[in-house]
Amino acid sequence: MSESQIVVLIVLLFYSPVFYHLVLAIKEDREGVRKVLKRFYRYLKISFLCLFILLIGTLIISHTNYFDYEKPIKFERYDQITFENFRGIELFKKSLYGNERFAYVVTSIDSEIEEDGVVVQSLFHPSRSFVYKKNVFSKELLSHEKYHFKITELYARKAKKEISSIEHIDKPQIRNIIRKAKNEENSFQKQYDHDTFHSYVYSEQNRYEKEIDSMLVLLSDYMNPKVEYHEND
Amino acid sequence: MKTINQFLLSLLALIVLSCGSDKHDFPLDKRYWDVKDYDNAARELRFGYEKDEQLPMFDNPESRIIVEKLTDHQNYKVVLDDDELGLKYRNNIAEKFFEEWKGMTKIYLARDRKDQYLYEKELLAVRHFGLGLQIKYFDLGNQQIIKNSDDPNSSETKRVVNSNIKTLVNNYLNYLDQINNEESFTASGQKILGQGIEKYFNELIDHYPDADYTGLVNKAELLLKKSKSTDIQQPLQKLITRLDAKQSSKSY
Repeated sequence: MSESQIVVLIVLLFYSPVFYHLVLAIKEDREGVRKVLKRFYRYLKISFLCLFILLIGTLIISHTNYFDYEKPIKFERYDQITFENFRGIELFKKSLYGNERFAYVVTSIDSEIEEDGVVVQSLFHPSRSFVYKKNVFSKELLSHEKYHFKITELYARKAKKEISSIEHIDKPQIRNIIRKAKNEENSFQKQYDHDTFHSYVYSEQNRYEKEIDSMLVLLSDYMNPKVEYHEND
Repeated sequence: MKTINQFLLSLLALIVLSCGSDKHDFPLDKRYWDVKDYDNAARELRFGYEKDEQLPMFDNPESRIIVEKLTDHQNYKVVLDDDELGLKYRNNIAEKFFEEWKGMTKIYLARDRKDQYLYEKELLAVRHFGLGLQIKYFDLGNQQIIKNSDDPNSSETKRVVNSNIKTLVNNYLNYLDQINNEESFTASGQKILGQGIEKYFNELIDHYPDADYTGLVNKAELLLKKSKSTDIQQPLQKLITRLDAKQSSKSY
């Protein structure tokens, strides 16, 4: 039985009381029909509401697993990340190209414009990142996923480098730089997955790892999340 | 009552739609097919199609992507050519690919009542896939033997390596057996068959220039006399000429 058929079956079971009352309504004599129909609509309304709440709840948990929440991890703790930190739940996607042994990582560039500077940092979101089995021993899979985090850090540093070169504080310009970094990071992440085919192409994986590491070293001056303003008047 | 009818109709439509799914499932959006994908695809193509159902063909725009994916040499090259992967691992994968390929050769064998192949292009593409794969497979196997040997120059190691090369050449000879059935191919099929000789046999000789090709020359000469297709005769003649030239240069 396919997944969609299972969903339909669940919905049908869920609505079985509604159907029951519907059948009763049809069977009832004309005088009683109105009364039974009223009950039917009431059941329909309640069940729709329950289903809606259930759906929203499922979507929220699927996005961020609040049942096993861990706050976002900063890049300075990169070396401590293991699959134990991948706490997300995947309710919909059961495989990646037919492979059930898969993982994905969610990272982001977080920014805040302050009075004396700008904080730009990369974050790893444990409760949104998923691995098919937490105790899996796969250095290659973990390394591939963790390099996604390094890519995010790389573009955070690139943004900081660009921000630090601004002579006059210009908030829209800063926001623009961060937006551009995010877009570029997104494209790079896609290219990385495409070229390495999610780490399947080992030589490409190695090439990317070397390239990313060397670029991070080149931008090591921008390791600190905060870029302070040094405005020249 | 109208609302109830609409509700029931919508529900029925939902059930019907949800039951409709693709009859044959292939991971077509996957960039490279691995051994597992080949296992599933070959099984589906061999046993998942009804007797009178058309298999994926190059000439069918809807299904050509399946056979293109199935016969894409990149699928094995991406692993077997990757020097950064371990030799043992690559050898293992090559062996698995080879086993899958043996199953694939049984997919497109159907013929019509005039003994003509129904899927000649696909049949030959699968054969070509195997020819390309086998060079890599035997090469990795030999590299492994040499690596594991205490003395790579020992006569025993050389004997095993040469025996493997001989097996490879014999496997290539199987491709030439198709010429005995050349009347089962159309003119364009015979052309593809000839192109296969030109491409893959030259690759074999380039890869193993010192191998013993006596059996290959003998077979090629016999088939040259037998074949009625110029598209097959020409590459056979070129092959014989190349091997003869090699043989005569060796004897000096």
